Amino acid sequence: MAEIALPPLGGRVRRMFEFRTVLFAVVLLVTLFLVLYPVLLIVFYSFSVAETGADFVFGLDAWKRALSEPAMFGTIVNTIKLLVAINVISFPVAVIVSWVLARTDIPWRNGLEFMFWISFFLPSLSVTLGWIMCLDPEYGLLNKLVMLLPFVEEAPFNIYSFWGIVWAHIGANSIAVKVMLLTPTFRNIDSSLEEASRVAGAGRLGTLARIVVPAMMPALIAILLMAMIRAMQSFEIEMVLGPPFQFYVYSTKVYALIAQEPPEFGPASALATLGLAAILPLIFAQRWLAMRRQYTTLTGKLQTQPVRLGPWRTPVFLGVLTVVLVLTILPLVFVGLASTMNLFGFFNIPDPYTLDHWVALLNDETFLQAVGNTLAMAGGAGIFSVVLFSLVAYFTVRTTFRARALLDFVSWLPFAVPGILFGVGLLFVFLESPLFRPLYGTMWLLILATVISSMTLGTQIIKSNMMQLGHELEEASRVTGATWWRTFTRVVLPILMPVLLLVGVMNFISAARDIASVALVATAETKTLALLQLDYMVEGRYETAAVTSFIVIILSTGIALLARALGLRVGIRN
Amino acid sequence: MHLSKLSIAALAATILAWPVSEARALDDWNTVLAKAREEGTVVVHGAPGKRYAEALVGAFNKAHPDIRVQFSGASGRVDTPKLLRERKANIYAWDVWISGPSTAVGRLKPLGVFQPLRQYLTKDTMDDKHWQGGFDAGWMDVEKKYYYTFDGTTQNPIQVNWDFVKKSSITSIKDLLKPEFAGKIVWDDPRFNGSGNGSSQTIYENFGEDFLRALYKQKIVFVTNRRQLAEWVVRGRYPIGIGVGENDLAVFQKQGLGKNVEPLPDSFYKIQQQSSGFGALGVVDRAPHPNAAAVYVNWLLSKAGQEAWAGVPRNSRRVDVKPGDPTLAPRPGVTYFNGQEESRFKTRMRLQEIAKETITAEMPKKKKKRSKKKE
Repeated sequence: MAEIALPPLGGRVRRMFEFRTVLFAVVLLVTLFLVLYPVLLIVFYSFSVAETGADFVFGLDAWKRALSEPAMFGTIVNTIKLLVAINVISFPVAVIVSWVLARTDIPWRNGLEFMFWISFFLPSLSVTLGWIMCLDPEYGLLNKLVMLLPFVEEAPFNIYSFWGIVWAHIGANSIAVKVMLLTPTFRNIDSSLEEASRVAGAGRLGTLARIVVPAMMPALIAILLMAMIRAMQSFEIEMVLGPPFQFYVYSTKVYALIAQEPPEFGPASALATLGLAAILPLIFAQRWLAMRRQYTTLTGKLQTQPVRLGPWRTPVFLGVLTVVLVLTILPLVFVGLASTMNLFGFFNIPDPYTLDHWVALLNDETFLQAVGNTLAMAGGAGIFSVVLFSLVAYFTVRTTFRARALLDFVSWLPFAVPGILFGVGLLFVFLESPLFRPLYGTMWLLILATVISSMTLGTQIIKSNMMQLGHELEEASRVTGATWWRTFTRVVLPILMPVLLLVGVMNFISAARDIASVALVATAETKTLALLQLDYMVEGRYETAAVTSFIVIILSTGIALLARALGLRVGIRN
Repeated sequence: MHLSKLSIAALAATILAWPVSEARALDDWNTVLAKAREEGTVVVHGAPGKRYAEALVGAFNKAHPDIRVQFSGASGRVDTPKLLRERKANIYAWDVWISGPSTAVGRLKPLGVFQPLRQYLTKDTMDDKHWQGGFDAGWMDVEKKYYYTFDGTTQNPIQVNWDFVKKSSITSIKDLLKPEFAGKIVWDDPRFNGSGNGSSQTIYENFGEDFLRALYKQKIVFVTNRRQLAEWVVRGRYPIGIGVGENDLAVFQKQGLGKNVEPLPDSFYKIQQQSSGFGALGVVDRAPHPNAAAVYVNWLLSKAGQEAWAGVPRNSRRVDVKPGDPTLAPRPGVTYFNGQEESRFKTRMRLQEIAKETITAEMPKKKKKRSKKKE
């Protein structure tokens, strides 16, 4: 990838003090401090045999313990099987749905896309409980419904099975997150590519397979990779659905070590380090694939004519609508039902419905404080993350600084380390650095924690879009005398505004829902809605937890709508 | 032993900061109260969940509106490492620690996290006449000075949903090893601290290690989600539950469900467990608000504080407080032990190790059988 030529006057010294270089150095240092340093501390303390909080004492006990975890091989095999099954199903579906939403004249496409966003906001545990209510082999509503048919004698579905877990992942947000990420990327493709293919005689699907998908390769690979790494860290669904048939995965092993009291951070760190080592080749492979070809699809001559579906318009619309209804409306109904039932899933009790949980929560004095904290934290995270991630993405893909590969690599780390362990790393960093200790116990630390936890996803989305961006627009700006900063802020960022808005909203929502990264750094004064929800879950009050979920969803939807309205107002198509 | 200048200075500072004068001041309660109001805040780590927060914060606020409780109901796995890292960074943020005693006496006490408690308590609080077995029966640490339990709830280790199990099929606990109960038992995961581990301890104390190991091999389903555990027993999906939380069960029974879920009778055991649950406390070393801490712990151990605790519902060890859950009050003729005492900590840890060895060794076999069935 070529860098824009620097003015010939600049020598090495001049270049060193150029604004862009200084900014790169600052971004690199901040990222290394916030991301690499905690990870190194986690790895470092996996070699300590001292109790948590005691001084470092070298020993390999944690590693021995991690490596001798029984049935470890089986859990790794289970993890791989699960990753493959989930992505083999969800990825093609997501690619097709995204292409349809972004590139065709399907009716109500903005609304449909927005519903996928809502699906992404839904808490996976509530969605899983909803699917249990439908697909439990003994009392599942859907099973009972199908068994009314005269020729069905046994319950056809079993949520407590391998395919049950796969379905729960797909239903939770496996498809939704991919659609959210892929749709803006598909939009950036120049329609002249598709038109040329059609003129040459290719069909719609042939064009999708031979032209569109290859042009989108870096984005597709990055998104697939992110989905796989994320699924490796997911444990909520497996924790609920796995035990009845003794199904455990890598993440449940790590979680089990952390969930003890006191937690075994040593072996958990060792296992996480192994996980990290397994993920590293994938990160390097992604980088290699992304860098070996030119993927520019968005140029100064961008044309975005939608593909006309003709007679297929209605059937395709109904197909996408069905997917989105299953992924969004059904789980939303589950969460809503849960929040208004005396006992979630029990319809046969004398008085199944109540508003008591709503009344109790709205009268809880900690609730209002948690709403304020959530808005402050998620708002801060949404804004700060867009600034940081766009700079990280820009320096990674559009400059030739030698250390940009390091920056790229570091931006992947938060995805590869379980959130709660990352929280431990941050705790180490901020308690042990006198300079940053004053931040401890403040909202700033929560903002930083949530920004870091969403760094990989956000940076990769912006990065893959920047890779599609041709250089001529920037060159034109520089030729007319604009500085690098002016070009960056007035040309690059406005073009990427839809994706920046998407990232900002996503990070707002992720921060509002985040439990793992903030649990260790929050205090009683900075408790968020998600942590309040966790309190209710721990206590077994799923119904009140569902009210909290519902409020987080409403807040997130409101923010997403606001972002869309704002985007439309400043002339952003979506 | 060589002491650096810094260590000597730290030691001197600690001695100076040691609240001996506060212990004397407790004789003059009004002075303590006045100083506590000046401090204005007490920082408390307490049990997770809103019911506990209502008891530990709401009730105290009513009694002492001018002392604010800064309360963290985060689980021990969150607050314990936080406390330890803070102390390493010389941040002493906590005043009172309320938790299950196992981790407190087994892990935190050896690291010097607690200071002697008596100096914070009034004579009335420590009066033997208020407490079951006298005040001293509540100490959880072997030194009898750092960590004190005020909770005296008994534990039913095994619950059976008799709608799905014939009463005649279980006449002793050893009947649980019958093949007909394989795959019918769900257990709060005994590999971790909690009621499942506590139930293992009761079974171990009564029937020994071999029986426990044999029971683990009964195709048990181990879960960490307590609501799910109670729900499965109520629904009869797994009609025998080990380590089922009474409060979790009560959620269903209040709605008229699982009425025939009952514990196995006392006659099945030689000895049973009186568990502290989350009901034990200590004052943290170098507490930043020592007077407010004194007011708080005396309030919590008072009749009013224990009545608030009983509202969770749990049972207090105070004899002048009605049990929050009368079905779990100590029953006459039954011998009890507290499995969370420091003297039993090693046994508890060993039982977790046994569970880890036995359960995980069973996993692959079970999986194969299940997948064959599926095919």
